[in-house]
Amino acid sequence: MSDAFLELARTGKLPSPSGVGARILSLTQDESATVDDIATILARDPALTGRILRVANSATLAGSMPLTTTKEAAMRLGLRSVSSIAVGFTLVSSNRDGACEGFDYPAYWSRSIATAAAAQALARVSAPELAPEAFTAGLLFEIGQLGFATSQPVVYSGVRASWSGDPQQLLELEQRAMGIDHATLASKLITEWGMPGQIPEAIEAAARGQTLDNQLANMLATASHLSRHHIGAAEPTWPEDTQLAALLDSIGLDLLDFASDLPSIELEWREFASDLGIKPLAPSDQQAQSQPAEAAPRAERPRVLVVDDSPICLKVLVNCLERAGHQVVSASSGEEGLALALQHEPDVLVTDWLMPGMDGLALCRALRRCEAGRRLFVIVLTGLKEEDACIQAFDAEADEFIRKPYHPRELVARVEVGLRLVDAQTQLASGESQALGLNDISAADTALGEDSGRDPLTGLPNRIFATSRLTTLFEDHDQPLSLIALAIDQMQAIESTLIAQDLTRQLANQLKQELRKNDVVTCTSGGHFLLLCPGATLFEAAEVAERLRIGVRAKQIRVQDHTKAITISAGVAERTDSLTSPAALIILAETALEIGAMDAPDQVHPAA
Amino acid sequence: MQDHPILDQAPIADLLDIGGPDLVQELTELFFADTPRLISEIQAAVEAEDWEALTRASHSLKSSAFYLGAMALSELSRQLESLSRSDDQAPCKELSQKTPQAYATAREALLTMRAELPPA
Repeated sequence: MSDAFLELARTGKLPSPSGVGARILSLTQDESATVDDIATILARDPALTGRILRVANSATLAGSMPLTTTKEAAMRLGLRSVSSIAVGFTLVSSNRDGACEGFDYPAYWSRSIATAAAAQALARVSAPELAPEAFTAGLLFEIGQLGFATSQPVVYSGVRASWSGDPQQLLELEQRAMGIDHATLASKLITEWGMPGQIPEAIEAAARGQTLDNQLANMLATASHLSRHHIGAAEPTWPEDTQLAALLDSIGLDLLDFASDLPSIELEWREFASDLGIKPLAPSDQQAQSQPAEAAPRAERPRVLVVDDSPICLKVLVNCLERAGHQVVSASSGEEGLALALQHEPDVLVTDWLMPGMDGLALCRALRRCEAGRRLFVIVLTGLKEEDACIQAFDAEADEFIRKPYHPRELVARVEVGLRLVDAQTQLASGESQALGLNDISAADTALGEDSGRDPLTGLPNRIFATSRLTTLFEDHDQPLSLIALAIDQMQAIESTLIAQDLTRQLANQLKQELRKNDVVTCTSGGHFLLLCPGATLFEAAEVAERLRIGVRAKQIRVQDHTKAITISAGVAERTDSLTSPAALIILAETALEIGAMDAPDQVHPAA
Repeated sequence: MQDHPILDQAPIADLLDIGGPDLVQELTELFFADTPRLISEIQAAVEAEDWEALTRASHSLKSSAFYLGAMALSELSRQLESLSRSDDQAPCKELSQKTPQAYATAREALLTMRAELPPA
């Protein structure tokens, strides 16, 4: 069974906390972490802080002073509880949607939030000391299913398609198809995320229907039943629900007494869902397991927009693309192109640069300002050869830049590359999560001999690997150990996801080449890297970082024929006796980077 | 100009491949309808020394001529475009005066080619 889990882990696509969640995760694994540390991290994310406080306040007894800071929440509920809640929430934002066609992501999250709200409400009345854990456990109750959807989308689509709706049957189907079921997967994932042991235990027990005396498990089973059948239901059917009565009985509650709690559970569900950007769906709307209705319109949606003020060029291009099987819309001016882009939300834009009125670059710039426009793959056509013209196009954040006159077939080929890139990109979750990604991890790339995940974008090992490798190195006191945290300074200003990815890839390649023999470079998220430098003191590592910094600056990273001045900032930290865990070392380096880069980018910042 | 034939068959062959004789018919019609306007824009721009307008018009003509294989005309337009952006626009006047004739020649060649196409 553990082999099956490793197989899934090797895909590199299992959900994992990213961004703030990952930082908090590191913190929980560090025994010397304090309440102040977590407060500092959360201070940078007011939305997340708000959510945590809401849960924390719900979890505490009526009549207590309301909690208004994460520090207070951590002191009252415990550091691990607060961390778990935070990590749970960050998982929502990075897994809103995904590639598995047979999996209803919106319904999944609607239900999970409902289960969380219900579990906490039940705990409040039957076992208040479990309330904080109950929320997180409820939110992550079905995380195993999400894990399958993200790591094995095709296989799991098949599983869901054969599923009749019976909970036990799902476990069996999963076990047969993948050698592991969602109960075990959930347990393993949550344990890996360092959450308090009673959570994975309870989830596994409840998912299997083997709750016995486990109070938290019984609460989860009840909460899950409520979210699947009653929360948000148009007609109240709970009075006749004997199964619900039995479940409530197992936690010492009476069906009729419970009646008064259902409205407040629903209210909390809607509030959390709204806050998280999830649509609250009634149980009847959750039954659909695939989304065929959405597939049809997408197929008819024109994916390519062509803009050129020359009717002949336009016609040639449209014909060429249509013949190659693509749906095309066309415009003969920048303004018209903008209107069509906003209306149809195509995936690729081919635009002439030189046009009266709004030219191609102005069109590109205008589109990059909106959400759909940022995902667009933009090809600009131009007759210019001058270097600064290229830079202009690049600054407007075009993705590709083709000189006219071009061979129409070549343009079609470039358009098709653009379409494939956009397809791959839509499979990636928003934000920095690299748990979902492109396919194809090269088997030949096992030089490092590790079998944990890789960042699919750069081919470098990812954060999980960094942490585990660092742990091994950390224990070896025969030599010094330092860590460099690197980030691309200009990343914030880059709006095109594809350009950001390309830059990250290029930097990764450059870093790989500049490493010394025993150094290890890992990519932790878009544009962020960790370099492990065994045998290096702080001074030596700072020198390595400086060399890299200068190298990047000098090389002038090129993206598709254009050069862009990229600079990197670095935070450097060395293991000292006062650091008690690898996680602490990571935090030290990353903090030095974050704070240093804010004040003085393009520099190396040793940790104080 | 010797390397740039009045009419290069290769682009026409491509167009036939893409959309058959119908496409070639349509495009040549469009070309005949659109180009006179571009030529007068070119001449007016040179007259008014409006180099940006010259850039746009010549850029447009360069591309459309190219797709139809009218290479000599395309090259002439390319030179105009290039000069319009440069510091020395003096040669523009003389070049722009050659444009109407270049177009007339191209048009003839295109009509001949079109007459020899298989029926749509």
